[in-house]
Amino acid sequence: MIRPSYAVKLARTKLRSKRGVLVTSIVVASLLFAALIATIIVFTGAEKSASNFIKKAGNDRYLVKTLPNIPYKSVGFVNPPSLEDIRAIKAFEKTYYENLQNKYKSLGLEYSKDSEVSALLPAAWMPETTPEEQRVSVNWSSPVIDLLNVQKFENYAKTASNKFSDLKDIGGKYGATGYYVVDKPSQLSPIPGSRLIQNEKENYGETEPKSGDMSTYGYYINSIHNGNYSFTDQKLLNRYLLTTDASNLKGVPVVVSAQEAASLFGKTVGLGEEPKNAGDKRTWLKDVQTKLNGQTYQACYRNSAEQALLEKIQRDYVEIKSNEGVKGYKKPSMIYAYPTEGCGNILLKEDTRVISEKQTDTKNEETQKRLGNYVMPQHSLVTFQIVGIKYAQPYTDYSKGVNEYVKSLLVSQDDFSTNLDIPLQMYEALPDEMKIDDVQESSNALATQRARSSEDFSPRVLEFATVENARSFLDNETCSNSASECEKKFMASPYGSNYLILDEVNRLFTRIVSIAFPAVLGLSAIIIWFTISRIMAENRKETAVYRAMGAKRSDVTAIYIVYVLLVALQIALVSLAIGVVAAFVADNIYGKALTDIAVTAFGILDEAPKFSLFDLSSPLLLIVIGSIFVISIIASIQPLIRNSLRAPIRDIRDE
Amino acid sequence: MTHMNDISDEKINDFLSFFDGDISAAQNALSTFKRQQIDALSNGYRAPRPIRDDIISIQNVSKRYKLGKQTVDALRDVTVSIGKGEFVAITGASGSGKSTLLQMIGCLDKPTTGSVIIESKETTGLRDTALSELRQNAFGFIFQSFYLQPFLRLDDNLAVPAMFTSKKKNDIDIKVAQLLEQVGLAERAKHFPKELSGGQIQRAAIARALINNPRIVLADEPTGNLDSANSASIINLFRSIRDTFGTTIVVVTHDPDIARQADRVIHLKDGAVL
Repeated sequence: MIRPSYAVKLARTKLRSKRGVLVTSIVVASLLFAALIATIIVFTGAEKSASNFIKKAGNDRYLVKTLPNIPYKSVGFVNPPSLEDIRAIKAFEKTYYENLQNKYKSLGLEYSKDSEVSALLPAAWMPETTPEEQRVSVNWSSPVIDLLNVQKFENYAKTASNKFSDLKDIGGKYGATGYYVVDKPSQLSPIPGSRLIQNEKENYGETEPKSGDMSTYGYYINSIHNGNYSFTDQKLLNRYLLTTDASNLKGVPVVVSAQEAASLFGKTVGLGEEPKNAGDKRTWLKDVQTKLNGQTYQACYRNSAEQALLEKIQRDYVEIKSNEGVKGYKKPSMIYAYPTEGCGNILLKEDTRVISEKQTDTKNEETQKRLGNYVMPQHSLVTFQIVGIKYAQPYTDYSKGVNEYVKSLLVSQDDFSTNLDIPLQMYEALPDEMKIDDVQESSNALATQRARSSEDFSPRVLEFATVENARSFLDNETCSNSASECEKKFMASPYGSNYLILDEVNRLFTRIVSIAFPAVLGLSAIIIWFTISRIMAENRKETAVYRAMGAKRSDVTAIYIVYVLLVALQIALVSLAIGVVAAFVADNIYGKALTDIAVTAFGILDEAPKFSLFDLSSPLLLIVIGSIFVISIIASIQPLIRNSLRAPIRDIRDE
Repeated sequence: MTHMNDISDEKINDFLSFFDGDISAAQNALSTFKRQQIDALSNGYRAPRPIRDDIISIQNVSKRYKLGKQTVDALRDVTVSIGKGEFVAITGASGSGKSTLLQMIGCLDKPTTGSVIIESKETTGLRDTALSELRQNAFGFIFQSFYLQPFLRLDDNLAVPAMFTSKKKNDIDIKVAQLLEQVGLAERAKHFPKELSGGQIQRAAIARALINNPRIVLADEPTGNLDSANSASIINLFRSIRDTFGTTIVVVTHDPDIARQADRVIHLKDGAVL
């Protein structure tokens, strides 16, 4: 058998024959493998970087936000109502007003049918083919409906199997290690129930919440203006918090969006507008955090009676204005004026009531008091203190580019809602006079909302130690928040980051590689087979000469195996070089921008990991490189056998 | 050798006494006898087993192969013997079967019928590995187109046949150096074939054929691509090799001048020996 050194020497001579075909084959095969190698390097880097950010953001935890899946029909009504609901509402309404009438009677009060608000309104828009009894719609303003809703929820709660205790039982099966309060609504009502005080004034002209682009993001970055607040466990907000010291708070602690904070309070501290470039954005965000940490602002909460007065002021103003100079027009007998300072008292501007009017008003007030329905006009000034900044992520069209794609992978769409977060533990440490629990009066309408945000039914974030446990829990026990129909007890989504999407992308990558890898191998095998066959055909005469000189079949085979390995080595080196350089270039082009995006997306400004698209640690790389040699040998088996069995005389005879 | 050993000392003494002890005369007579025997064989005389020191014995060999739809009789019932140390030329017109006979001798091709005996060993039934070993040890091939590997330097080119043996690298290197010296190419050892002249390439091809110390050198049109001066030089080289090493030289040629310088000429026509 020929010595390896001689086999190498003779094989190397073949690398120089059919050079055009050989170089083309090496380049094409190398490009195929290089694409695979670059993909693996880039993906491994991206996956590891994203994973580092996710771990840093979630403190190595995988969080799932859950909501009890409460079928709406079980706790409320829909329009148009079913015949069964119509009959139930009518029956309840009849009893309700009979009882009310009796209550008036027992209190010696005069009952007027005119005060009744029908629970069902005629629905003329419904087709005439609908039976007349069913041509009605639910009147959401009816106290009957409010009360029925409360009753329905109470009935549901009695037999519900998706309370917090149930969640703990189920979560325990999947190794859940923590349960956190999240997005628990505060008792503060949003605009127009509350108004932000700016320059010591309230803007009474604004009565609707600002929505921006109508998305969650749009509402979120206007939440200070809109007055939307909810409580969230401090542990879930850690990465956004600029302080956790609750001892010297000047108001209700709140985590706000960088965008709105900068827009409302930025000018006073010299903050510029949000830049577009990701790198500048990162610096800007840091600036926002530094300059607006501890910033306070105030909002005025006015109860329903005060809101009614504010509406009357507006209504009267319009009426008087439009009747100016009209003969015989009589202005309202009581005219109020807006407060002159933020959260001040509503002023009585004119009171021209005659004695009988005053007596009627007094009597009505007395009646409401006796019925327990009287609401005294009240307002409260609430002070908030910014203790955290969250950079809200607008919706990203992931197909627009690499940056957008990675951004969509990183950013959790459920990480922010329309509400601003009040860190629960910091809030609980506040003195009672600074708390906001009793700012609003109770009502039936609020009762259902309160029941939903009770200990039993409020949203919770579950903590899992592994992504597998989180995924199993999500898959087996919950429906997606966006599911149109859900028969499971809970609805859920990943919280804090898009770790599941990353996990899914990982799986997708594995699937892609499992298809691309064999495809590349197959194509390369064809290329190598073609090349080796051509080279062998080209060298037949030389092989025959070697055989005439006494080379055995095994010697010739050994030379060609070495030759194939040399070709494979060249493919491996070229593809590795191209793949590594391509990944390196990609990292240089996108790495910094992605780091900036990740930093702002996760709000990790201090000790932020680097987002790198360059990582050589994947064992897949070794497998790919090894496969180049294996596939080269496999591809050359057939031509090798054919060449080995060929009688030398066939090629020498041509001499 | 075995045939010679069959002759008793007594008979040898009788033979020598016929020449009155003149060894030289006895040798000449013996040589003439051999030549007559060979001529007789060449002319179709079917002798029994050769009794002289034949190294190559082709017996009743025919070779028939298909070329497209045609059947070609390349050799027809050829019987030829070549003695050890003989310089034989095979001549004939193009297509007469010269190269086929040479390839048959070199165990590159197998006869359709008949037998090829090399160094008293029947080769037609040998397996491929045994044939390779026989070619490796017994033969040195020189091709018309030389077939030096263009991407190997001259010294490596000469070493190629030895690379398939178990010889030590050092021994191969020494032998290569000796051969280069003998063919006058020592100074060209590190040159590539494209840097050599036609004559130098042919001498290198001959040197390569000798690397494994073959007992038989087979050359197919070795001077086909050379001018007359180079051709003469090559033939002299063959003679020198034969004289120095006792190597049997079989040369296929269509050049009558070359054939004339051989010890013997085997002429083929239409696949048969004339």
